[in-house]
Amino acid sequence: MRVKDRKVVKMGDLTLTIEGTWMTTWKDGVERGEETRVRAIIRWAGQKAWSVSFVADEGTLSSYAGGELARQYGATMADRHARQFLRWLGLCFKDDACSLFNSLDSAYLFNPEYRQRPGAVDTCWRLARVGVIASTLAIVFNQLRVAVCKSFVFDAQNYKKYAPLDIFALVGECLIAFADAGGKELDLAAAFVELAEKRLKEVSADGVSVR
Amino acid sequence: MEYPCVEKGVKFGDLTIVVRAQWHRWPNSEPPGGTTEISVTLMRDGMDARIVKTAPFRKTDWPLRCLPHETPRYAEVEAKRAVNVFWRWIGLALIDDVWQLLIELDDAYRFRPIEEIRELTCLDFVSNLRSVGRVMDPLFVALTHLLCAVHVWCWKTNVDADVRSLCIQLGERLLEFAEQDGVRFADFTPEGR
Repeated sequence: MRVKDRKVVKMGDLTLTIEGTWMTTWKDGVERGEETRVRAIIRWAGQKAWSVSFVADEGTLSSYAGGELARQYGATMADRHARQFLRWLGLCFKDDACSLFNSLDSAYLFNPEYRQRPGAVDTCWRLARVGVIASTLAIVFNQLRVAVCKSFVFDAQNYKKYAPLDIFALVGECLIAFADAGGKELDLAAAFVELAEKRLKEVSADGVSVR
Repeated sequence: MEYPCVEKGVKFGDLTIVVRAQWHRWPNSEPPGGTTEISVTLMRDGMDARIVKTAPFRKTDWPLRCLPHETPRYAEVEAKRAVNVFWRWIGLALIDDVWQLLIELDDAYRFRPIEEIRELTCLDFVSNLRSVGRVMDPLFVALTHLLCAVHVWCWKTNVDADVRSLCIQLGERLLEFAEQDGVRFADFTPEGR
């Protein structure tokens, strides 16, 4: 069984698709395990799409596998991990390394600092695993950052207007809000403008000029 | 130009692990920067198949403070250091000293942001976490195979030994081995059984 969930983020020439896939895995002809994979598909206008992926979760298959409940569970897992990835991407844009570290640690328990009796084998395995996720995050973050830098936001007039608001932090907020809302498609440029204008109004209402 | 490759191997029971490291200069980089790459080969007695895991160990992206003719010497020292550090980390993992391992990994890769002490940008953080993850992959494979080799040795020799003590002994010997510069190979299989 395989269930997919896709979130699409568009920014200028870039279409970024975050695809969560929950699937059952087979061994020796028996459906034994489950796995959730997150794939980021990067498509620049006029270029061939390419992707990077990682295994977000894996485990032994629960006894209800095969039924409608399994499909619902799979859909929830696929959606959850795709959203989680978008949230991490948002934290990257907000440049909040501490929150990102804590969030990754909550999910993958790779930092043995506050754990009781962490084993070396366990710690090594968890660090190796989270490294693959960090690698995917770094690649996608860089691509989306390039897309933002190439977009209208960095045109001279717009840059002058939005720069004091911290452009990348606003992009991060848009991504996190999209992940929390559970939408399917995000026009990042439009969401950015909406949020930025709202912020500008708030600042103007306070009587403080941001220009 | 190929720079010197340094290797150190260990045998325990029917398992042989060879750790190799080599410094590669980035093409056209002036002054010379490069990457030390580490490669771990696992072999079992009587089996042709082997497992090879490779990972970038350290990037040297600051200008080397040496004259061009000294670069090979630098490359050798860097490779030697990588091999010794890697064996040290395997030793620490075997004696289950997770704290020390974590501290040394964090010193090398700086993957833990610490508020007001080590402020990392998110890009640095994910990039450093990726680097430590890459090195952990061969380390994890080497570690689990060594643990298996200890169990297999106990089972084959029919010795009623405490596996945990054996692992700690092996870990301590690996820590010493990592300090020895002149030794290229050591057999740590317990004797007299």
